[in-house]
Amino acid sequence: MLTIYSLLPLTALLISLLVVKYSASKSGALSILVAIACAFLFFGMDAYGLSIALGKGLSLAVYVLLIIWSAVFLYHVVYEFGAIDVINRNIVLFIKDPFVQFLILSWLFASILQGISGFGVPVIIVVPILIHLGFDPLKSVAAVLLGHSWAVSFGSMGSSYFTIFLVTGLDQQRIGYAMVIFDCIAMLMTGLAVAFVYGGFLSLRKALYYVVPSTIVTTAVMMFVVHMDLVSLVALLGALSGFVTMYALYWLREKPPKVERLFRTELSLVDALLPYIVIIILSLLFPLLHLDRFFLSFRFPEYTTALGHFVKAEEAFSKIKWFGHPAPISLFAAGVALLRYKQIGIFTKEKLADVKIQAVKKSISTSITLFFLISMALVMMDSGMTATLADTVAAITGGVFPLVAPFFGVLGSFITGSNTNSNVIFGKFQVSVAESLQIDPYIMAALQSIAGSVGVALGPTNILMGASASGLTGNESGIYAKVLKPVLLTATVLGLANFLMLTMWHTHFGG
Amino acid sequence: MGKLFSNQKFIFLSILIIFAGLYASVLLPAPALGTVGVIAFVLIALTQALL
Repeated sequence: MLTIYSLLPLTALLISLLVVKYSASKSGALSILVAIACAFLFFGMDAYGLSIALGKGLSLAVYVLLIIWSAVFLYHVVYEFGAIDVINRNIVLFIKDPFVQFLILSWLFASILQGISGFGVPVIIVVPILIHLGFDPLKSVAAVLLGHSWAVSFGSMGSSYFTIFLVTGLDQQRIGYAMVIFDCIAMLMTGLAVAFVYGGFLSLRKALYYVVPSTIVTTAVMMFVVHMDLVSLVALLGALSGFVTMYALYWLREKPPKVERLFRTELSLVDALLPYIVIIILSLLFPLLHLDRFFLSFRFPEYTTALGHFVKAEEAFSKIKWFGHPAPISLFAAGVALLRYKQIGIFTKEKLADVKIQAVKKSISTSITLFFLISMALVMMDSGMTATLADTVAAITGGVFPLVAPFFGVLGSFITGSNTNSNVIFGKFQVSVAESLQIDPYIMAALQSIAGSVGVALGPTNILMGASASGLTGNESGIYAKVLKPVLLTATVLGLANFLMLTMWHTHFGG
Repeated sequence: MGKLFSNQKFIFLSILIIFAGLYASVLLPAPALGTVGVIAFVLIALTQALL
């Protein structure tokens, strides 16, 4: 019976999002209410336990929201002052082959944008460029949705990545290594999917020349960046290296004519790239300065529910390092960019006011949803609901669970439109099942995050943004039809890889 | 009242204040304040679910 009660919050979320079609924040509110009611009535959690769980949930939400708000602010600074346009136009100057344009823009350039910002920005920016270049709108939306999805988990300055280790409590770097392995598969599959969208099976052969080497280089770079602990730069530097590799391959094969003059407005290409250069420099510099002692964290006492579920005390929960968390770095980069714009003479107070309005408008609804969903996940965890659910799933699926596990990640992103939310909902669940089945929790946590990443291509918010950016509003079902099969195929391949790693090669990241 | 609770900035700030209250209740510790915080959070969630 407890298993049924522990399913109720997730069921409420699913029904309200998919059947009743409530907004994400309304559905989040409903599901936290159900979670609190179940915890209080059936899992022996009193008001004291609930105040600890909600306090933890809200402190985790603050951690993630600082990343989201700062990333969105930085993106709007760059967008409103025209830097994104300068970057876009220069890319097109260098590549003439339509197939290469389609692949590099939707698979790698969109992923670079995901590394910097995310939250639908790659879709909003890249889809209109593709359409402007003459590509079919439906193909353009599908390609960008699929193409950038591999970069979501490490993207947005690492918000989903931070969430998975915060929610599971596992070592950040070990999850990172395992995530890179799964992300290699996701990147390969999404690259081929973009080629398939472009021209069916005929394009796949041509794509292999670009997709395989670019994926290998990107994987190596991501592994190195994780090793250096530059967690907020994994997607950005990975996608950049893939981009450079693919362009080098194009240059070797096609020998394109030399570009005489770079596109510029009042901003040169270097000016346009300045905030991202600052982010890379600061992210490299801070770890060398050993400033880890400057941080903000939260303390929570231990607690035991009336049913005997023990929750250990937390001495430094949701640790926000002032010189390591992505938010201060993004804000500093935005500040440097604004100073440069002022120097050039394009800065106006009105534009800055617009930036603030847009950033608040874009972030506030997501923030409220995250408050509710993260709190729901923590109430479920601390009350013992997640553990109950995990034990049951482990008992029913047994050794087959590693095969089906990616579909939970995809489902989480499909219903909430966010890899971060998917990790919040299913991250601890996947790890709990892994513990019940005595398989490596790091691999399962990593798989959850990357499957959630791929599932973002099906997220309702992204689909709606893609439809509006391409003028396909009302034809969302057409977009779903193009994207669904590649996502499910990728999830299946991820499940197979997971199964092989866990059961045949006994891969272990747990130390 | 309905207008106030459909204002996302108000809801966002309310949740932040509730968070401060909940955290203070856990640190002090002041269980009564924690109970008030939980009730306030439930009320905010209720308004968002119903409006």
